[in-house]
Amino acid sequence: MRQWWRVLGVPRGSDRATIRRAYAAKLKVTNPEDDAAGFMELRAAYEEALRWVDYQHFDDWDDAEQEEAAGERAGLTLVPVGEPLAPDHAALPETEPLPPPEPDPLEVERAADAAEFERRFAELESGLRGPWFKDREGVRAAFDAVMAAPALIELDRRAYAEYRLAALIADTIPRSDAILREAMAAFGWEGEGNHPPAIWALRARLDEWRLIASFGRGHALERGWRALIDGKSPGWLRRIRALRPGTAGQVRQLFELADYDVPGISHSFHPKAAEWWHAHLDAPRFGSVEMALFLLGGVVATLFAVLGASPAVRLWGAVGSVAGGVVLSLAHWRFVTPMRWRAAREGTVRSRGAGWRLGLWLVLTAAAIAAPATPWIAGGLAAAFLILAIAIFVLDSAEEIGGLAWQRMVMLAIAGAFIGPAFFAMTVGEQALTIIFGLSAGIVGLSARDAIARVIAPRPVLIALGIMTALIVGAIVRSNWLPGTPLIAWGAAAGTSLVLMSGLRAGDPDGRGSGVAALANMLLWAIVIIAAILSVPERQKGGPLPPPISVVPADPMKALEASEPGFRALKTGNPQVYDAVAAIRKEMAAGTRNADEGYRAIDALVNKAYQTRLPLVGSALIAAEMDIRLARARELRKADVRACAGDRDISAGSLSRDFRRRHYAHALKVAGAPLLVLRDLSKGREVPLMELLRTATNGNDAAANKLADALEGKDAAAKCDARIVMLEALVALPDIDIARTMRTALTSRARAEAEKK
Amino acid sequence: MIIGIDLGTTNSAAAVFRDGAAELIPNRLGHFLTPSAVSIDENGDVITGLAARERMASHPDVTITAFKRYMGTQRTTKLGKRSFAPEELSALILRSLKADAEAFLGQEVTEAVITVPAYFNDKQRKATHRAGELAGLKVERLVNEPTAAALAYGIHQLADESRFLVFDLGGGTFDVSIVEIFEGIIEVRASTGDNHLGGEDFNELLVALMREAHATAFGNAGRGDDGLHQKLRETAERARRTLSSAGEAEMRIVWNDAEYRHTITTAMFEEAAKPLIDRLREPVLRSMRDSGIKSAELSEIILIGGATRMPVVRSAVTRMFGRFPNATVNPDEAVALGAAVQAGLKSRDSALKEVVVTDVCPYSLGVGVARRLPGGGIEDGLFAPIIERGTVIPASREHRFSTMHNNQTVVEFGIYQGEARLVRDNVEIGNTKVQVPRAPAGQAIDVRFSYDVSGLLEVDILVPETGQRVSLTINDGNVSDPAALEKARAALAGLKVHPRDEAENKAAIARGEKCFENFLGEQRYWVDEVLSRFMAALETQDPRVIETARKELHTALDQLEGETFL
Repeated sequence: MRQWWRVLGVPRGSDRATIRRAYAAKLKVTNPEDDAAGFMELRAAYEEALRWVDYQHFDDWDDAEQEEAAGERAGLTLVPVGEPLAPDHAALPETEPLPPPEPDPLEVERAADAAEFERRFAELESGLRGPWFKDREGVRAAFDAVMAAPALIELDRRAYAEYRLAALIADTIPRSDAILREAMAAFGWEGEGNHPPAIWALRARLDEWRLIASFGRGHALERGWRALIDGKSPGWLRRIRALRPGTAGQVRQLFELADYDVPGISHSFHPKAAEWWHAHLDAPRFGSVEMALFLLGGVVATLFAVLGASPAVRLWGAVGSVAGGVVLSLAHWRFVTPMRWRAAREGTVRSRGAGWRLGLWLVLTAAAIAAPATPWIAGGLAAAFLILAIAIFVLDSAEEIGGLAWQRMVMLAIAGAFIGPAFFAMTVGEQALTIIFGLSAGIVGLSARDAIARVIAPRPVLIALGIMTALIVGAIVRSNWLPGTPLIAWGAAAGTSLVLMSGLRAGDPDGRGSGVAALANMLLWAIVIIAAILSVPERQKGGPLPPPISVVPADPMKALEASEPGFRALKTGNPQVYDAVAAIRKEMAAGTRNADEGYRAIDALVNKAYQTRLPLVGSALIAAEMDIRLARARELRKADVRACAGDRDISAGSLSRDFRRRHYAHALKVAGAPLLVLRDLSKGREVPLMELLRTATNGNDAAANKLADALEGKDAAAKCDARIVMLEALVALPDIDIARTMRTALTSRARAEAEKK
Repeated sequence: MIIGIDLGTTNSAAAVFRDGAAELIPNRLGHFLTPSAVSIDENGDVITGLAARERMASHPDVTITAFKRYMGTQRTTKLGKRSFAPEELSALILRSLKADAEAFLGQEVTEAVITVPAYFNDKQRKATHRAGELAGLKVERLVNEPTAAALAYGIHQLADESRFLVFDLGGGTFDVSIVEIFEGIIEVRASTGDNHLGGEDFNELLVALMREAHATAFGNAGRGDDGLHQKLRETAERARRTLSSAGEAEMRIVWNDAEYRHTITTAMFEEAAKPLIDRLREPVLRSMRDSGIKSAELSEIILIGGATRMPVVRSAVTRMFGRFPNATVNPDEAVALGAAVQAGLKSRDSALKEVVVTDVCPYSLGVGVARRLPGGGIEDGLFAPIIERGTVIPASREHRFSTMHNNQTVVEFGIYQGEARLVRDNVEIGNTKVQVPRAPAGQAIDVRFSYDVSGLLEVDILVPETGQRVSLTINDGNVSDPAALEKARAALAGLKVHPRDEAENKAAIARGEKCFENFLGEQRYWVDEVLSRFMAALETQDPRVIETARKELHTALDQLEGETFL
């Protein structure tokens, strides 16, 4: 837009009369009827000029222009500027004083009305300003009386009364609340227009009312508001309430609102409650007791979490934990602390928090890496405590961090820190670890829900969450620690996913984005489910079976003996093998041998002893072996016939962990069995294979031949079935020396194998 | 030739600017005022003006008055066999005014400036515009009534600098304008009003008083627009006029062959009128607040509109301003004269070369918005004015709004006029939607409102992000395309109108019939006799005889019920 003085064609610094004259002159050639655009520009310039005309002496345009303007003004001196409006009284001839005029009845009435108005106004003022204020009704009545005063019929008086009332009411907030609405309605202050500051103050007060009214049920700050207007509760009750996550944050927000945006709401706080909360918020967030509890619980829980894990798992846990802590603390410093520093300098809030948290995190991690073993129950309690503490911690931080993008990132980073170890733990079959990390990730995800509700681009976030939940689900499902775990895990994961999605819906009002994202999530779920179904046989496999205790103590064999009685038998029955195992354990304890490799070696030793001793041990052990074999054959038949048809190889890990553990224990028993059992071997008769098979088929020769063919044949399924029939018949024979039969079978097999080699 | 037309609630008038002055145009009866009444006779012919108004009492079902109050609404009136929209009824009045003007000026009249109450909203203005077009007039301008009155008054005061207030209480509407004159410019500083306050409301007061007095006899009869109510209204009007000069007045009607009387004193009337008088104050206050002019700075208070003749209104004005209003302006004629001046301005009359008038927008125009409350929560349905009332028109203003939610894809703009904080208390005059790109909350949308001299609004919405532009001129969904308008005009033109030269006789017969119904006993016989004599004179078809008989008839009826008023 051109500057107004150019549009009007007058020098800057012109007075009102000149501007008006110029406007009038221009208007006659720029008629609003024909030249709307030209008129609009002219009018805008004119209004701009009138706005500035009174302040022009404050103008500091540059000197050159000023001189130019001065020159222009000098050129204009022909027309005297600022001609006096009233005629010069001095120039008028003195006139005779007139006799005092008759009092005009209208004037008399007006004067009486004015006096009456003043009386009523004074009454209202004393009501509002007086020392004892409780009489809302009285003030209302006084206000009504003022409004009904006859003097107000006259417009100028009414305008004068309006400004005085506005000033009075604005000055006596919150006492004047009693008549605020009435005054607003009576003078139409709610409408648009050029109001004086007092009226703006009243309108702001009315806005405060609306805000206060909205703090009722369902407002985001409702809890904090209730805490602040509640003056009756005793201190201890308040302290308990303050523990609830979020309340303190809401109270702080309300204080900030009262300090900066809507000072009037502080009139509604209960003074006692407000005082208590100020003191509470200024006190350190973590008291010494809370601090100690947190620290203790955290250390114990972290210990438990990494307890029994291989060093690789512990590394993962440590890295994830540190990464999460660092990201959170950085975000805290970047977004929370600068604001707090300012407030701290001004003395309103004490700066605290971020340093504590980072430190805490590092302490926990360090403790976790160099930690001793802990009993189960303490570990479980500690885990629960850790999860709770993390949840509170995350909620609090999320409240304080304003930057939404960062909040989201922080949440996902923390979740990631948990997912990593969970994923790894899953691959090595560490159930407890998997579930703890999975749960933690879920809780973090849940607490991130609020943040997610405000996410800008839901699709990528939801896909990330989908991957996350899929991983957790995969981790939980792959570990078969509890019977029925898959069902619980699926349910929990599906619930988490739904909650997350509902959060996204809130951030995406028209729902199209979250619809697509939900579809993506569902697709991921489908992939996970299909993968889970396809991997059912795979699931049964595992790595080498590690002995149950993974922490290597000072005396390596003691722990083994404590948890697995078979090792005790080994010590007395087979000292050479025992010594070899002890040597391996020592190396592992000294760190010269890798744990996995060590366990594999122990496995091999036990296996070899088992193979050697089995033909020589007593019939009870042989019968137990038969049982295990039968069970294994049946179990494998359900899953994998090829594995079933193969020979005994429990280290290949194609069987369930439980079965393998049972078998391992038996192998230890056999390997450690004293050889004198041989003496007890009775003389029973040998049963040829064909006889056994005939017995199994109730004397049907053809069927027995078929089974014998199947046993030697290539068809794995048929071979497996034949084996089951044979073993069942063998176990069922009442009067047969099983040991002898087995020995015959096994030695012939061993012989055949030796020939093959 | 452009004529100026005051299309009033009770009376209408036309004027023309020629030979350097505005001049009223008499109608076929020689009156300057034509009652805004339409009636359909038994042949299906249209009767307008005085004759129609006289038929109001005798043929209430085929006669209508005060239809201006329904302008801009969808309400239709059934007269005889045909239904009429308010703008069609207005068009019939405009057509008769046009015919009168053509007869008076001796040339065809095709263009007009029509006045509307300043506080008419967009829909009402559009309806008035359409009425003009239906009557075959090109509506050059709609001009606000108080502005027209100010023109009529101010055109003689151009030499001085002055500020005055126009207080226009008409038959159905109340307008206040504050006008400043300087350097030959007539500038309206503020314009406010009340769309539903006027002389008719005072009549209704008297009707209510009369009903109260005869509650047992009347019961609930004729609450609508039937004969009883019309009779009551007519006698109320007459009583109100009497009260302007006398201390008391008698209301008298004949209904179901019985006579009812009720005497009203000035005190009773004033007491009853108090709530209405109180309603006069608010618009005056608002106009003074808007213009920033105090009442002491006003050089004159000018009363316009027939209802300001009432002493109760005059005294209220006197008390409001602490002085007496100007009494030199004829309240009935000023608006039409002002419209003629505006017509003269429009046609570049040489006498008006140095005069420029600027008017203001009498109400705020804006859109509905929502805002976030501190600490969460959303308040919806708030009114965000874009053109504030008191803005000099033509005007064009732009505001920037922003999206409320993340990922919002559509923004809906409701367009409202009014002053209330919440849109639900304002008048919705249109709405539109714009698509916005998916983005975080706070994306800009520019909304431009352009308001032209006739008070018609154009809305222009721009999304800077995509450059998408939505423009709309506010239409109220009625006839807007030329073809439909042409059709409606043809349908209206098809209505047979009583020949102009018979109008006087028709009016006389209508008046006679009304009197016959309104009197009893001897007086009724007498009316009957005078009327029969006039009918006999009509039979002769001799203009001179008819003329004489008509005069006799009017003289006789004047004696009976007082002079015909307008």
